[in-house]
Amino acid sequence: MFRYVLRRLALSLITLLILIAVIFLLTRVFPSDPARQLAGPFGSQERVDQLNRDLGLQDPMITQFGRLLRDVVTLDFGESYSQPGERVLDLIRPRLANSAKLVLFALILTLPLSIVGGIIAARKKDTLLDRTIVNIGLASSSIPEFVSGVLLQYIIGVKLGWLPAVTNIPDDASLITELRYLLLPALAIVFVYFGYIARITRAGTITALDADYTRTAYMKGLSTRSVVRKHVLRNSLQPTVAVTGTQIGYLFGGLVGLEVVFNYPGLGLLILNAATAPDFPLLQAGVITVAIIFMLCTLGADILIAYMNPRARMNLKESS
Amino acid sequence: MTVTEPAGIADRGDPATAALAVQNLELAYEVRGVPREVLRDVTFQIRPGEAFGLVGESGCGKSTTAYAALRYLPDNAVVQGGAVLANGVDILKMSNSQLREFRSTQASMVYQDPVQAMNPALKIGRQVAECYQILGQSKSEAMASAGDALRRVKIADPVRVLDRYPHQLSGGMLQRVVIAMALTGDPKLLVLDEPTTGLDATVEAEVLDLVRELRSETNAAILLIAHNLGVIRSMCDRVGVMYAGRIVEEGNAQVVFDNPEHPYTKGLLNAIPRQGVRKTDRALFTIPGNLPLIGTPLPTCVYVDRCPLADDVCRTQVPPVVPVGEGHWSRCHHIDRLAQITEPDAQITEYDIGTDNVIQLNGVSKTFRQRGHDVPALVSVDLGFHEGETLGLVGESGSGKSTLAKTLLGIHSPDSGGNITLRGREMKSKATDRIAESTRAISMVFQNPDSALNRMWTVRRILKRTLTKLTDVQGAEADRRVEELAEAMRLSPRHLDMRPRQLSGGLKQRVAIARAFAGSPDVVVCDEPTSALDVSVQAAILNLLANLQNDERTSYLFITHDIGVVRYLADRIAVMYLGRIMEIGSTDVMFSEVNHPYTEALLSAVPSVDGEAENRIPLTGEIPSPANPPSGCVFHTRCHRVIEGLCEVTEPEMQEISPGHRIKCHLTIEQLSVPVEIKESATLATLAD
Amino acid sequence: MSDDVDVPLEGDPTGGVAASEALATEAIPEAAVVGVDASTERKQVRKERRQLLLRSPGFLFGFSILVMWVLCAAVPSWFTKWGDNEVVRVDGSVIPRVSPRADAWFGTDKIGNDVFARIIYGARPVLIVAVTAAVLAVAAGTLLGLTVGYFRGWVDEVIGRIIEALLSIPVILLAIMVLTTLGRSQTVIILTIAVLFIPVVTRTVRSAVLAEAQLDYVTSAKLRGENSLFVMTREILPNVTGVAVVELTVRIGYAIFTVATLSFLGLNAGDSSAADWGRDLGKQYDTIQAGQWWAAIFPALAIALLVIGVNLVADSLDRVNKS
Ligand SMILES: Nc1ncnc2c1ncn2[C@@H]1O[C@H](COP(=O)(O)OP(=O)(O)O)[C@@H](O)[C@H]1O
Ligand code: SF4
Ligand code: SF4
Ligand SMILES: [Mg+2]
Repeated sequence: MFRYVLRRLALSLITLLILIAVIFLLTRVFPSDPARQLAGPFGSQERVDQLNRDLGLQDPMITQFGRLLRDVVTLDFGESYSQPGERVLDLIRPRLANSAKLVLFALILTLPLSIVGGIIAARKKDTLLDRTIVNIGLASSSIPEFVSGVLLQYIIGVKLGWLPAVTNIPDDASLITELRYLLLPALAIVFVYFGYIARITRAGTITALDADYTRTAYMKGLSTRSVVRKHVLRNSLQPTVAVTGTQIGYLFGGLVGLEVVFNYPGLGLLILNAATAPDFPLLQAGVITVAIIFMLCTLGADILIAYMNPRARMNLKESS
Repeated sequence: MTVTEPAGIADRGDPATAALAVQNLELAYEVRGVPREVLRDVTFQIRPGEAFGLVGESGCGKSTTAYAALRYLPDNAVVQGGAVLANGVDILKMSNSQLREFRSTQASMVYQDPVQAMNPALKIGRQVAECYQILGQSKSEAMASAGDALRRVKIADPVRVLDRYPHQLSGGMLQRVVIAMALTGDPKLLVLDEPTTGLDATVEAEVLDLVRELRSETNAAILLIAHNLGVIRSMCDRVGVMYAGRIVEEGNAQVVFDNPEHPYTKGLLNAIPRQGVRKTDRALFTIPGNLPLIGTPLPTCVYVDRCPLADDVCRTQVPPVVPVGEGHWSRCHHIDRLAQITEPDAQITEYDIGTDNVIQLNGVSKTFRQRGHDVPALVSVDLGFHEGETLGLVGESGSGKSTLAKTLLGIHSPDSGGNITLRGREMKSKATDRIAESTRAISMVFQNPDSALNRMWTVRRILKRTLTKLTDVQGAEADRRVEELAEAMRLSPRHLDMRPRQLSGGLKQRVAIARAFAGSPDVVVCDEPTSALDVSVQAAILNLLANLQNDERTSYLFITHDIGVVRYLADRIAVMYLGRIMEIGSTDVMFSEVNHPYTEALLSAVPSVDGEAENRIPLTGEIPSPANPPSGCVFHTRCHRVIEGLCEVTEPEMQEISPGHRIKCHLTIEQLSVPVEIKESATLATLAD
Repeated sequence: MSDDVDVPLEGDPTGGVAASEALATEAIPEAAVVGVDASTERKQVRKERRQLLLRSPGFLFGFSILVMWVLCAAVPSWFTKWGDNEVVRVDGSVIPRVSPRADAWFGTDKIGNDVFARIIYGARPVLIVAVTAAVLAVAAGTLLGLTVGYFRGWVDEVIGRIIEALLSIPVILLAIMVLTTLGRSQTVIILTIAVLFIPVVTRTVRSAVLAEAQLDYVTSAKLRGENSLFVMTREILPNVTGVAVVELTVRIGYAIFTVATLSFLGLNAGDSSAADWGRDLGKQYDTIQAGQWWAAIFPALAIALLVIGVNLVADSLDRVNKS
């Protein structure tokens, strides 16, 4: 197990390295002149040259890449271009916390609901109930989260007035108040993810219910309840764990549209603003942060799966 | 359609005391809303302590019967009539909790593929202990009982096995564990559905020994399903022969196998190469046609479409149950005419085998590298075969048979040093580097035709492409040749435009053989070509291969685990163990002279339909890992004739004990002729690390 | 290929959970079809598939939605008398922000455009961009997946790692990065989405190819001396096209998702006054607070309806493919 974790970690690091290279290329290779942009259209050429020198933008690519790697390792991405004087890391930290809050809250709402839904659908396979769960899931997860965000915002926030329509959470808000503000965007996430996770869970559970070991368990004389609890779930939830792992990664930063709708200061919005500014250090750091979170989540999911299923520890290569 | 119970079966005994009494069971599977009949009026009884076998080709309803016996039926199964009594109680009418109670204490089941039968996520200990917890034991008691249970199925080191996960154990070991779980609470009924299918013959023999021993210990009634009739004969008191969901003959196992009284039983038995029959003696009996589809209305005799004796009576009247002996009956109108079913004649009495070697392997080795370890899968193999000759290759799985075949074919390149020659000319080691002539000269028939044929291609395209690729025949001429080829394989022209999915297993294998012969090859490698097929289909394929060989003077490298088949078809046999050829000789000699100790054990492992004297030499332990082969003679860890102090130190040379018969062993003929002492009880299974 | 679980969502995660809905015991024997004439048999299989599709309410519903939108995209003038950014005038005066009523079914927006007309006209840009991008991505991904899955080796390792890396960032973020540096013509948007979808298509096709390449028919082809190109394109490709087609429909769904998001964020191409659901939603949703819901909600529903339609079709195709 320990060796598995180490190997898995090494793989993650390699992936991360490639990713940083990709991000680096994306922000450097394309025609753009950060120094000119920083100096503004009326900045003097001297100022531009000075900036280029200060920022090391004319060093060979490899040097610049090395610097970026060093930044990642030391978690120090320097100063923001668009908000001079601000450390990039200080800009990211509160946003990360905000995103984490929203994601966590959404997951707490989604996971139990969709896992139970998926299991029920699998147990009642091909019945009306199953079709209903599957189709509702399919439909709801087809709607982009900012679209369901807008719909929820209108119906619950404006029309019914039950919940705050934008998430301008007051600074001194209590946890309950804060959750009230977060509930609408979180519900939009539930919308998208319920169907997704329920369907994955359903498929996994059907496979496990059909498996020979489930038959063995029945033949031992176990009740359906015990069969499901002791034998089915442990195997059937593995895909659910895997998917949840990757999806948590996507939720950080992937919710740009939703954050715009609710004007929620999360990572996505930060990255969008950094891209349009443009603020390269902030942009790079933001995207790399998202990637690191993704790595950690999938790593966590894989370790959990390896714990659930000893066979998974063996075929690390195939699983990638 | 149900026939009233005739007087002939009245002597079955009292169903109320039978361990299992299936009575007039009618069962259907609902497919797209339509119930399709699968079991037709199935009736049989098993007395306490008795072993009852069920045989018949796949799809005839054996497994359905087995599952019905424990009421574990798929959702779409509909019981349309009848009863399943266990000790007089109808399990089809039990409440759910009664059923659970019944399964946990009265009856249990073991089925094919033990690897799938165990939960991959839980340790063995937890899974075995669970059975005892259901009986009310505490966790620690249950764990102790689990250890005892494993000891009972002769697992040498229960404590360590309990601590393992299923994927860390071999198939044979896992099947023991499954059996141990089945024995919890000493059930009165044990249902075994193909319990040894997929296991090596040597492992199969051990598992069967174990079941036999446990049976005498527990006095459980057994319902055993196996497609290997030899297994049924050696294990069962009585046997039922099933066809299209109906039991067509029932009786004492030995009596039924020695004197079948139903055309179907007779057909099945004649289709098996047995009693040492060789291809030069006679062709194998085949049963033309296919099992009727499930749900086909069969108002008359179920076997009427394939029966050589069928006449108008059979087509219009349901045959009665005719008692033919003590507890032996058959469901047929024309039992008196059974003798008219004759055995096929000798097809070819003389096979013309050349003297020159077509292919010669000289010192061929193949070492795989796996996680930094060298794994020698072939060690210095010398082998040649003549024109028109069949060389049978046998050995347990993992002994290197397929590696040898693939190296010959150029799928693997051998280690440097050895070489392979085709008619004296050395071939390149990789298939893609070989000249056209070498490519044409060697072809292959795979084990699984589903995998071997491209699903998206029609049969015509498969054959034509191979033909035009390997030969100069092109265009319209090629089309004609394809049709000829198909005809030679007894494929009808309409099959040519089908895709593999539309063909039965036997037909698919014919297509695969047609493809292999398209380039008129010198050598065809056949890797277990019939092991996925039913015996009646197997017989037709073996006949076909024998005829083709004689017409085309092709050589076969025929890999199989079925000793009966290899004896029927092969002219010479090579026995492999851990990548080495341990013995080679002509088929006659192999079955008459002394053998290598490994061959001796291998041959004795196979239960025979003919019921020859049981004289089993158990192979202890599992085949060692090729990555870490034993010192000296690689077989010494399992050899029953091992010479202490010599065999584990020095590797023996090949010695020729009679012309063409070579053995890799230190012992002399005289020493090998001394009979070995046979241990009575089942052997202990040890963990291979 | 995942089972029926492959719902469009950012970044398509694990890529494969196989749900075997196989029969409890052995499959129905192939003998089932022996004896039926070959071509009839094949026709029958096709007919059965078609019937299976036509009998599935999900497919019918999804397909009707698609037909409707395609018609809107092709001939918008059939459905509305207004041009796409023509300002609605009643008796000569502009009427912005009117709620839905008889002469403006979906109301008018801030500027005075007819929302209904905007919805009709908005189908075209999103369909063109999404479908083109998905087709490109699936074509390239299939090629790449076929190649790396067939040859394996270090190229596969390297590409596999790169794919893994690219999949660890939400597509939308990468798209934002690319579009803010490269500008946003329609071509750039199409290419960006296409390129960003290649990794996931490659992964799906690759795993299908890996499974195929292990089958003996591939060995058999190599043994008769076929070259790699032949084995890949003639032997393996036909067996993975089913997967690729399902992947295409799924990718179209994701592409619509992505295009709409980009437009919503203002990162779209073209004339900023042209009809575009995502952008209209982005520009109008602030009026919701004032109770003027129609200008935002209708584009939102249009996006939702289109993606649902595509996914219902994708789902049914996948199901039929597997049965
Ligand atoms: N759940 C099911 N639904 C429909 N048909 C089935 C089902 N299970 C088995 N069958 C069919 O019923 C017949 C009998 O199957 P089975 O009892 O498994 O036979 P056997 O064990 O003798 O091979 C076969 O034609 C098989 O394909
Ligand atoms: S009843 Fe007729 S068809 Fe049936 S087995 Fe007997 S002879 Fe053959
Ligand atoms: S050499 Fe020794 S160990 Fe090997 S087979 Fe002969 S007797 Fe047995
Ligand atoms: Mg069976």
